[in-house]
Amino acid sequence: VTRWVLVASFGRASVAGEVDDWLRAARAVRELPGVLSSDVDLDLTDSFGGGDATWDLEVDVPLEELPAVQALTTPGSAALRACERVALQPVLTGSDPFDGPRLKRTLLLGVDPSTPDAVVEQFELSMAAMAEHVSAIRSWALSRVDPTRSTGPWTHAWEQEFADLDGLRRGYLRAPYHLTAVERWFDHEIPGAIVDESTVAHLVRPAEAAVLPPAVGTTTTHHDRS
Amino acid sequence: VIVTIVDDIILATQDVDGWLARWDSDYAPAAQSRGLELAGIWATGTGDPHRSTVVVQWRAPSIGVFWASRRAASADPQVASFWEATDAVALRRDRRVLVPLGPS
Repeated sequence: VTRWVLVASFGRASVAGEVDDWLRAARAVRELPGVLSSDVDLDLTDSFGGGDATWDLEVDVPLEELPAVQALTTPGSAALRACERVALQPVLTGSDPFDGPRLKRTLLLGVDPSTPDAVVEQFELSMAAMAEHVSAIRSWALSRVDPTRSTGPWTHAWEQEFADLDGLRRGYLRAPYHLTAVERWFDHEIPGAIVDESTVAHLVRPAEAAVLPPAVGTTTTHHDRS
Repeated sequence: VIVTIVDDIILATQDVDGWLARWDSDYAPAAQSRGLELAGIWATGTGDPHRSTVVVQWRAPSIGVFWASRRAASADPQVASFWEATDAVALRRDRRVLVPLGPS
């Protein structure tokens, strides 16, 4: 089973109808054999560094065996200008289920390839610990990117679900742990930063229901919401 | 919430004046134009008579200014070249980002 993040960019000349057709076709993929879950929507304007839509897809067959996905992720189809395929290898996940609409946020990033393994592991623990410090984060997943099956410069995906935009804008972006601890890995004014700041995509999109799979055999986060 | 940024730079004492001149011309004005306010710059001993620590304290008056300043600094190649030149002479360096404890 592989979970993919597909980052779609539409041509400037695309008319709204073409984009809608692409979205409709991408949503229909969830009915196909071999597809375990599929959820896609246009990114909100808070997003940067990526494309125009983020498609979360979980399959138990290679993408090559899904012609519809092939067609929808190959540039040149009606609306599509480019599509990056990012295959995820989960490192740490947490589940905090709730019903109803939400925001799915995906941070794709590239760690300097010369970074020692032990430092990368420390970075991963530091990132995943955000779920302990930021109660607005509901379910989350930190994954490495499988370079053999992926396109783009990404090494990691840090994904979260939020109940609303306020949780992301205030709860997450204003969290002391974020500013003082996690940002050290990104800020090249600080010795020891390992994330290439030109290789960061912050993708935020609405979702009608849970996108991230339940955590299995990893970390589960339970925030006290009293 | 005021965000405080503290740079600690350990230099050979003989390098302090040269570093300070460069910081004054190449770094501080641009940092202020990014919205940071200079709270102070100090020198202190290290216990080694030939080494000094320079401490610089900046203040971002809000978290919004902090993020805006971060974005602007990361897009400015002069910031990277300033720290590259600093690291060529600094014996050790760190930056800490501080937020207030307690109710804000």
